[in-house]
Amino acid sequence: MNRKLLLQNSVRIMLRNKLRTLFMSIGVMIGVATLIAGQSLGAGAEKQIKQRVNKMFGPGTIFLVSRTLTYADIEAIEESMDQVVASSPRFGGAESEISYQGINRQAAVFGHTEQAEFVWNRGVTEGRFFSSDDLAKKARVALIGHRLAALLFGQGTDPVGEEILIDSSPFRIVGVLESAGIDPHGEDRDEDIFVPITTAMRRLNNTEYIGVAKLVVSNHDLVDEDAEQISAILRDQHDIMEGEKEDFAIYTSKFAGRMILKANRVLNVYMVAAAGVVLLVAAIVIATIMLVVVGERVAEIGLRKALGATEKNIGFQFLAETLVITLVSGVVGIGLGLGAANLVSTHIAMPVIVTMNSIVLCLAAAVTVGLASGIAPALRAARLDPVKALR
Amino acid sequence: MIKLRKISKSYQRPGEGELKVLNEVDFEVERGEFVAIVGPSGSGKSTLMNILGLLDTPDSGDYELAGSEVSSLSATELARIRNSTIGFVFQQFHLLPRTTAAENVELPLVYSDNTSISGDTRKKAIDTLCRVGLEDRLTHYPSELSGGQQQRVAIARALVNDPDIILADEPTGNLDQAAGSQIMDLFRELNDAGSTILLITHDPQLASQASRVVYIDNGRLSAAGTNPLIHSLRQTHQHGVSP
Repeated sequence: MNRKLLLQNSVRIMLRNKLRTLFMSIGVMIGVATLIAGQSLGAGAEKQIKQRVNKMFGPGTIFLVSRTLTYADIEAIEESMDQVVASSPRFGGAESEISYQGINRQAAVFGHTEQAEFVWNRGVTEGRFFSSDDLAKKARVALIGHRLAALLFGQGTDPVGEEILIDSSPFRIVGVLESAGIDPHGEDRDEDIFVPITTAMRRLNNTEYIGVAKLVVSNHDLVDEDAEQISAILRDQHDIMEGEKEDFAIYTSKFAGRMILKANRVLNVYMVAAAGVVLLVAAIVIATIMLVVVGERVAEIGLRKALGATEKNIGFQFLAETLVITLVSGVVGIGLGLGAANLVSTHIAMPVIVTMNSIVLCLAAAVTVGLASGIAPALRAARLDPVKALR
Repeated sequence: MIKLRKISKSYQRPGEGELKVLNEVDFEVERGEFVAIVGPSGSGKSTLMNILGLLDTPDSGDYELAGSEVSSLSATELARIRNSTIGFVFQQFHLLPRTTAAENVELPLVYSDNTSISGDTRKKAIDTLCRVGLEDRLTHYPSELSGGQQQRVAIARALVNDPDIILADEPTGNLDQAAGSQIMDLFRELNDAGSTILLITHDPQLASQASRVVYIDNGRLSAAGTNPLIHSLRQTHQHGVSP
């Protein structure tokens, strides 16, 4: 048998029945496009999430969240655990009234230590960060996010040295915070205000309790074990009995990364499932159309058999016709899917990552659809009795 | 070339029992002959044609084609022999629609094991179309050709693999008088050039153009010979019974 001629034949028949070919290919195109778009956006999102988690948490970090967290708790942890190399509590984050020369805004005000520049990984682009002196004196100084600064003082003016009111108390701006963008909760972190934590606790809120602390440990791989040790220390500090509920929560950088990636992967599974359903429907449609096609071409099949085609030849021909269509649709679908993914990615600022694996997966899906839908029509065609077919 | 010995074939008809379509048929064709098999519809000539063309297998009897016994071969082996040994010409032409004349003629080469022409199948197809006088219709579609031209394409397709025998089943049945006689002229030319031709028809007039005529009725063959007298008697008989 001349396979080259037979394949040419398949392509010719495909091109001569354009509408039929379109109907057969549309499902595979959509299914494969969904698959590749989901894979590529998923991989991009995963990379971006990892970067964000790393930026937000940094490797080897532990968060303590408790309404009853005090400086004493943190000192107790640092005393008994050498592996805690840095710590920085953070206070507040509640919306406060900010005013400057009659302009009023709501902004999240955080109390931070002079360590926050390194521990919380956010320094200043203009002016200076807090000094230990600011902390000791409970100084009325503030750092401001650049977008809030622009809203209060106007675009392009240097806010350093200006005086603002935070809940009616006067504070002097000493620096502009590094840009942090929008956080995962949708809050614009460039409208934040930082003040010394001592000032926030004493002067603004008059409280003993810190709220949140971030600790950095020396070995990222042991961060979950360190968290357990911290948990034991805090239970002791807060006099929590065996079996009693804790009044604090501990999050490690590993745990946070795991949770967010898990959420992202659940989303990916849905995309793959959706693509799978589309491809299944496509396979059924193709099988149905091909069975009709075999019915329409009974005389042709009889003729080909009379001319010397074996059952294998006829089966191969119809399978090849189905496979050529699904494979070409698969390739077109990959193009469409990547186009759509790129369009989406420019709108939501998410990278698109195309891996060899995802392309192979898509082509394999297209071939699988072709084989699954082509086999029944191919067998029916192959088994036709030439005598009856030619009648 | 062809030797049939005691070939029988029956069909089960629901409610009516067994119908013996071919009854111990003996039949021979020599290489280079032009033989016509004549019979009314229902006489068993289609079944005989299918068995001769290896599209159907007999219930019993021996069939020797081009020197080898073919009655016990597998479907795949039969397909191979059909491809290399037999050229079919049908009443309904059976050309692939939306496929050019040259592509239609090329079709048997798709299934050919003959490697000597596998490299340039198109050229072989075009050469064969020239042989049947269609050198100016190579890229025409069947729908653009007259019935006579379509049948010429079909004959070229039958010839393209250089078969040992051409089986033509009512080749002029769908053609008008003029086109039909042109096709018969072509068959005679091919026969003069050495092709073995087996013509199956219900029309004794047409059959008379063959060098030998065999009559079939009720599943049995009888030689009509080349005697014009017997021939005309058969013709009268034929016209008497068929509608």
